[in-house]
Amino acid sequence: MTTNRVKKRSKVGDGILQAIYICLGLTIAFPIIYAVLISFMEPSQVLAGGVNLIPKKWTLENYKTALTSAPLMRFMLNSLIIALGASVVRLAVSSLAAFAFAFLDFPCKNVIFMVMLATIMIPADIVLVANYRTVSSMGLINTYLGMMIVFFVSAMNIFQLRQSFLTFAVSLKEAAHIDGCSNFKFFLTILLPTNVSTLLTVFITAFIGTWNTYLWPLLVTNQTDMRTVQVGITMLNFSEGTVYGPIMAASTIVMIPTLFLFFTFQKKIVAGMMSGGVKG
Amino acid sequence: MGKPVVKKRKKTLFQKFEPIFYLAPAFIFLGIFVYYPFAKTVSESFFLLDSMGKVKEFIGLENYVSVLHNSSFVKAIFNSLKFTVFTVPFSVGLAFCLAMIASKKRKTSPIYETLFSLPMAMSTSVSAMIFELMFSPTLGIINALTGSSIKWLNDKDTALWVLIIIQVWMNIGYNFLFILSAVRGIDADKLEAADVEGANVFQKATKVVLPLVSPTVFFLLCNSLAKMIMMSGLSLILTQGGPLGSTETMISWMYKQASENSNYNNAYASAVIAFGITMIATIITFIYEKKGVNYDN
Repeated sequence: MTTNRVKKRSKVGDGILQAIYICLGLTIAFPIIYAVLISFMEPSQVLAGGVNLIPKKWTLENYKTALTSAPLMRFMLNSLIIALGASVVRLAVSSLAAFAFAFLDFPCKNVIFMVMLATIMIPADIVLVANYRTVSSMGLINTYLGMMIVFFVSAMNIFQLRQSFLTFAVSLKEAAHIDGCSNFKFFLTILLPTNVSTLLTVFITAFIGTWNTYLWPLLVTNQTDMRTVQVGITMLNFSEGTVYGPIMAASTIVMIPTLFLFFTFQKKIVAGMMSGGVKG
Repeated sequence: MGKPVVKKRKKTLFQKFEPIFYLAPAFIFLGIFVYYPFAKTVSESFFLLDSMGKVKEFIGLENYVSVLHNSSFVKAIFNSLKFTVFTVPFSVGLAFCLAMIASKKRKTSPIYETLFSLPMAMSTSVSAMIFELMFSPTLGIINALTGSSIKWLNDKDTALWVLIIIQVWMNIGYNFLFILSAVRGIDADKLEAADVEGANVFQKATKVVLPLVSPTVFFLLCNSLAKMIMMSGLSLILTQGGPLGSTETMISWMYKQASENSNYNNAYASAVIAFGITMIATIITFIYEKKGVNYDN
């Protein structure tokens, strides 16, 4: 009986604990919830300040203002093009190199691998200015290519894919060769399809990373219509006083894609973090 | 008999060059956008450059002397270090606490785990815009809740602290997921042994769990150290380094030298100094690692 009571008590205790943890979670996520709530408020309520979180009257006015007074959709499109382009190219470049490191033999392989990995030690911000000089001398300022070209390769991604490729049985590769399969055909038709999971992880993390990046697109663009959404959102200009509602509406629109990806692929993203890290 | 030998030799010749085709794209991009700019940044920091970035003459360490005599850059170094010293331990420490309470799997754990990790999906720009409103002196919820009238981002004494709070918030999710998976990987027997010995929650966390997850914590410290020393986004978006240079960081200073003043002498020298400081910080962490990190279990 006593054990029963203890069990019952601990069950109730556990329920309370879970409720506390969810409240704690809501506190941590509060800035996000706050932004969404403000985005539906009327300007007068935003301007009243104070602790009012629930819109008195739910309105889409802020979204209308955000979408009409700034080329927000154009910014979104720019970001989408860059994030997609950079992630696809990076996936191709990284998996090719990872294949060579995992399956091919060549002189100084370990040294070359180390030289490649050493680039992880060089932060992107250190080479930012020199890269700006390079990209501008290529005439790529205000172009999509200029904005994404520095994201075309990542030593971390090569490393992650190599690790994943290494788990592929060498005997299967040899069997494929006996059947007359060339290296490239093996890579394309056997290796890549069996590693879809890792490829997807790398793609999603690369996409979120590029979508969220700020400093580089700021540096290589100066025309409004070429801005990415991360840069554009910090430059929104609305008439004084009504400013915060539309900015929160724009923020909500901008965070939807990454939050959606995060919710959908949470497990994949975590797996990717453990095998390398999200670069953001 | 001769034929297969020839065929084999041909194949090895092709095999000799084949890896190049696979490696070339990666190394071309690494060459143009990592090795070359790094070498250029370091080497050209010893030269006098004009506003077009053209090399004029070798001047040795003069760029470094000039940058280190610039009081705004010296201030930026201290701001970056202060930002790092507070952001890194707080974001790892808070994440550790969250991982401790979330370690046991319960019915609702997917809900609060997701809520704890949500900030990692947020970009610097969007987080900056949201917190700017929250910390707004007149309209923001922070002052409304606390009844204070602090000017936050507009006050030189508080501005950097606001940036620290935002960054800690942004880092929590990522660190939490890392530490959580490490904590869940701990041998259940070791935790039970601590229970049997009558350890309380705090003792269990610091004496049992922390040593066991120390490799993960060390990885997170190293990883975020470099990123935090390089912080510039929040400062450029929210304060442009102000008020009175109180939020200027090394990289935001470098960025302005290059993009606003076309002063590549200052930009390259400050980049190399920032890199040097990151290296020193990383080496210090590695020295500490030898003492504090436990890989045996």
